[in-house]
Amino acid sequence: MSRTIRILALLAALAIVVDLVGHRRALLADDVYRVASVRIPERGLRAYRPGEVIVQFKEAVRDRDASDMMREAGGRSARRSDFSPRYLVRLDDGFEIADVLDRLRTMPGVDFAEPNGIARAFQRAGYFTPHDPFYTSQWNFRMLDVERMWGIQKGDTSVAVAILDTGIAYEDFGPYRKAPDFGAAVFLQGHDFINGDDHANDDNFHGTHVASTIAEATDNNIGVAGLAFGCALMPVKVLDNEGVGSFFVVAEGIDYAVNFTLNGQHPVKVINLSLGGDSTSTTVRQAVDRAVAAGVTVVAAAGNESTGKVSFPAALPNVIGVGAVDGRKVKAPYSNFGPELSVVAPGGDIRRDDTGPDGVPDGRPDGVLQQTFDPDTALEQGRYDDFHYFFVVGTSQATPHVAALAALLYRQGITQPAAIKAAIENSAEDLGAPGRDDTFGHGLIRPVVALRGYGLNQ
Amino acid sequence: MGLILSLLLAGSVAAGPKEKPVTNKTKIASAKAARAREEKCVDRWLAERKLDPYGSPAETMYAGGTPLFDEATGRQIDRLEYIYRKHPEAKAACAPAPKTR
Repeated sequence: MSRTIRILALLAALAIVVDLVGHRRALLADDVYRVASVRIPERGLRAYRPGEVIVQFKEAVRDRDASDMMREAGGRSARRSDFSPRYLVRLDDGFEIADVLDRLRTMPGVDFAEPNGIARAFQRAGYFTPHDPFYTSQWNFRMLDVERMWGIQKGDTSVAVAILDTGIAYEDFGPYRKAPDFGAAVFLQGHDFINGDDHANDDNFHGTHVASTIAEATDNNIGVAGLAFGCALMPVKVLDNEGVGSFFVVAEGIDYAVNFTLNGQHPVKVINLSLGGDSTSTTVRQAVDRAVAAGVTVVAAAGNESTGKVSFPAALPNVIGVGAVDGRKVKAPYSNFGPELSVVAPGGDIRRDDTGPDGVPDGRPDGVLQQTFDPDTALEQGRYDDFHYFFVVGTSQATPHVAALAALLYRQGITQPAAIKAAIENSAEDLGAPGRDDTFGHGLIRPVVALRGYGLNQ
Repeated sequence: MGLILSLLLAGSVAAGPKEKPVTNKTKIASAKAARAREEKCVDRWLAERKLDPYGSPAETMYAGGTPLFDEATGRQIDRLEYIYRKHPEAKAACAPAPKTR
């Protein structure tokens, strides 16, 4: 009898163990679900004609010198425009468009250089619809009416956004690889303040995802789009592989971006800080003050603890502090709030599925979809080449939407950070209690309205 | 069957439905008070060592403004658990001792 009881007890214990294992598996499956990765097609329509670039020289440059420069940069032959010192350059075999453009852009006689984009018919007047296959999953872009926004402004490389973060997957260097969907995106010389070198490669995933929202290569028929895809990016690594940094390095990064010059110009007009801390810092505040005085707009994340205290430096009065909403324009559950909150932007909620290509649930989480490398592969194997598209949520993801809008406003001709901030705040869609409130600040950004100058007339 | 049902009903009446929520509320209040005491102890422990609310040096900045929210999963990490992982000595100083028989 006692033996039977022992056997029954053993079976019951086994059943419990099996049940626990089952639950553990379910939790693991849920963990994996966060990735929701989508493998991209390797080939498709191209946004640019292969092996060709356009270069325009300054009026004073002689044709012979222009010819020498094009050859030195990798050109095989060139066709001159009938109207200006502008050339269509065909590249020698083995030369990459991005490398040739980099070379040309550093030459003193070059006015500008760009890929020879493929013109397509049938764009609606006043709209621009990209052909990136997963663009339809970017509900956050639809929420901001970006096709009309791009009809007004797409940005160009005279305006750069510095991404102060964990770095960006922007180059092939050592174990690091350039994210494929950055395509012909232009990167300015950045700096790694964590390791003390000029290679601000991402070793976490965060910075690459944030940067992608701003300037992922767009209309290249690969993956997803970026909001200010014509603008340049500057990778500045101030957070380590765990996403942790310090006041000192953040201030160093701000000063680096502000003081950077290219051809006598200061191209960095916007600094994106998808970071913050609990304490305040004179070092960082003064660096922000210097940036704003130099005409640079600083945009920072409000923080992800759902508390009524906006993180520092987002709480500074001359910074645009950004909170997050989900796909319903409801405050995201994690988003901090408070009197210092400036505006909100889509940050998503990975537990919800309110959005899809047709505005209906699509079985995918409502995160912000962009390309980055798999953080687990990076952590476990030290590989930074396992690129996928990831749904990520947070005020970190909301912030680059606002930074991108700021960059486009600079391209529209606004030059002062206070005017940029006013344009963004005054044009926002009022959410929650009428007028400015602590949950949504001035409301959800409305790029189309801001770019039409509405905000400046308020 | 009818007998079983009536016994169950009788049992539920006898259990005193009004008392049960009060007991739960008391338990919750007690747990909240214990948690508040523990948080206060940890905050004091951190302040003595000039650490931020997450147990890092005061000048630390984080992706997304906090180490407690995983933007890849949307999950919040408990602050005390996070601190105890980093500083087991804080746990020794502040966490309630495990119950023993």
